[in-house]
Amino acid sequence: MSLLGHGSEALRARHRRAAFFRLFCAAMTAFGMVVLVVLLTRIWREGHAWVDWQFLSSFPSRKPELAGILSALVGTAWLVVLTALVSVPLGVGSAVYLEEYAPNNRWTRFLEVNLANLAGVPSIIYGILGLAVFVRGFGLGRSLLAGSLTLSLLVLPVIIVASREAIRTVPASFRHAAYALGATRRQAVVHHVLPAAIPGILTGVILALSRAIGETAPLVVVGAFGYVAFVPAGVLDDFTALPIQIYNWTARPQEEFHALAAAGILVLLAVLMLMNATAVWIRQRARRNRPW
Amino acid sequence: MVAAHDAPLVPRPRPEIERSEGRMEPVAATPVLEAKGVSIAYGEKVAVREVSLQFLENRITAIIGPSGCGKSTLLRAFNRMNELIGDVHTTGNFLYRGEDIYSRDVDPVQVRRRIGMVFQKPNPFPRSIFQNVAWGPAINGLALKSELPARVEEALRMAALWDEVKDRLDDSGFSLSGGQQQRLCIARTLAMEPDVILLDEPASALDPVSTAAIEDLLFELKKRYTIVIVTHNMQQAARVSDFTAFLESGKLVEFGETDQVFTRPRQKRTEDYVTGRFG
Ligand SMILES: Nc1ncnc2c1ncn2[C@@H]1O[C@H](COP(=O)(O)OP(=O)(O)OP(=O)(O)O)[C@@H](O)[C@H]1O
Ligand SMILES: [Mg+2]
Repeated sequence: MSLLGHGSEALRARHRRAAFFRLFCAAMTAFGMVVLVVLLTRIWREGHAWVDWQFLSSFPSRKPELAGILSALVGTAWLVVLTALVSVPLGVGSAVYLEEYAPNNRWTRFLEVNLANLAGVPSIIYGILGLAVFVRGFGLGRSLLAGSLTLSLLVLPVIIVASREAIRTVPASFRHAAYALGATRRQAVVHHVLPAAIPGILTGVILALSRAIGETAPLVVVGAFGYVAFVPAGVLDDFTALPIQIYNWTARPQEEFHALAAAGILVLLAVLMLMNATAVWIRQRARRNRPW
Repeated sequence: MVAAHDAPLVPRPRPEIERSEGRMEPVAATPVLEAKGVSIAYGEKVAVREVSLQFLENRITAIIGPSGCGKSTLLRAFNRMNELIGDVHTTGNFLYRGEDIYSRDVDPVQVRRRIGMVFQKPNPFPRSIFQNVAWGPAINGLALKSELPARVEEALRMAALWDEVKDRLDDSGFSLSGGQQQRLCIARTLAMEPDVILLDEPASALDPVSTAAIEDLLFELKKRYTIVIVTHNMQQAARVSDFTAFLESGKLVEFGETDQVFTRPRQKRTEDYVTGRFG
């Protein structure tokens, strides 16, 4: 009799269970995919005919055929840039401090746990905080600056966590080599650790910002407007943003506005996919070029 | 064997000591580094216990001993690298030319400038060969920008690497072979013109040819530097060193001239270890 031939009934049952488990996992994946595809097709069918130059270059209007998302698009661009300007130095600075300087004590660990928790706080909470602190406390009003500061709070924990991750993957041997050559901590960090960590940090920043772009709740709370018929010229101007504009259109009774909302979603998705693709590209490129 | 032995050694004002039969008279030399009753602990765990020894000028001292006996820990204490690791307690005195290395007003950056270190695994920076060597002098303000190329060349020549890399200085340090990378790391240390060079198993990741190249290099380097080398390789210790320290479980079992330690050890444990009758 062959030693490696067909096994017992028990073994065959194990194989059946294994096959079933595989099928189950595949089905779960397929379910998610199908839902996503259905959603996207619906939005595409409804909205794609509306996406044209006129749509991209017009302000919102009471007449659907004249309405566009220019002010929302520019508002979102402002928000991204301002949020990045605020959150990147804060986030990367904190990450460098926590990884390279902070003593490993109870206080640091407490900070770390809370950072991880902050990343999971619902975004509307940040909105309420922004309303209390930036809009009212600092008297910034319902401005781009207040909105950006609020979004910065929201993405800060994500940027810190991602940057720390990136800094931690830099081999300790670089640091040791630098210190053994008489480097100060700053020189080791600025000349060797940060350059090696930059692709990882950049990826984290882009993903965090793309999350900020899609956020609606905190912006509603800090007072983004649903109807803005001008392009903001400064950080203290009123503003709207893509998700706010979309939300505003879906809330209207007329069918045409729902189609406009779908068109707005397509634009938002395009922006998000562009950002995510950039992040993936940076990561792949860095992985390929990384010598260690 | 390996190229580069024909590379000229660039002279430097430093008292040369007569060599007799390749080995120097110990009385002629002064201690450059000294440990007096030092103990080192990681948290509660003591890694080095009550060790006292000294490293003489222009001599090679080998530190041998079984894995985990504290060789690297002791070596790192001499250029204050241990404090970068975290929870390390160091007691006793470490003296560099009579000065307490751990004194309050001593800057560890200064210590590491004078006491260079080469690591077990070659660890070039992800930069060009030139930048790898130039970085140390540049950040320490040891050379003007215009002087850097000459300094890099000198260091690479001393490390017996110049002929192999002179046409590709802009290539990444990682494009070199393991043995070349290690010589690049040695060149990087030499470019700082340190006084002492600490090497932690510099050849353990290398093939026999690269190892021989590095051993030959050490003979050249000791004319100008004081060298301490940790090694697992008994033959290597016997070949290259003037003095040998044998550590076991953090304690210094025997310390003396290499000839004596290997041929007439005073301690039974040393004899067992150097003859290979021991883990
Ligand atoms: N960072 C550290 N934290 C805690 N304990 C450590 C650390 N580094 C080393 N040790 C311990 O200290 C002791 C001495 O370690 P060390 O690295 O100095 O030994 P070694 O003689 O260099 O060994 P090897 O020949 O394997 O390199 C070992 O028991 C080791 O486990
Ligand atoms: Mg070691």
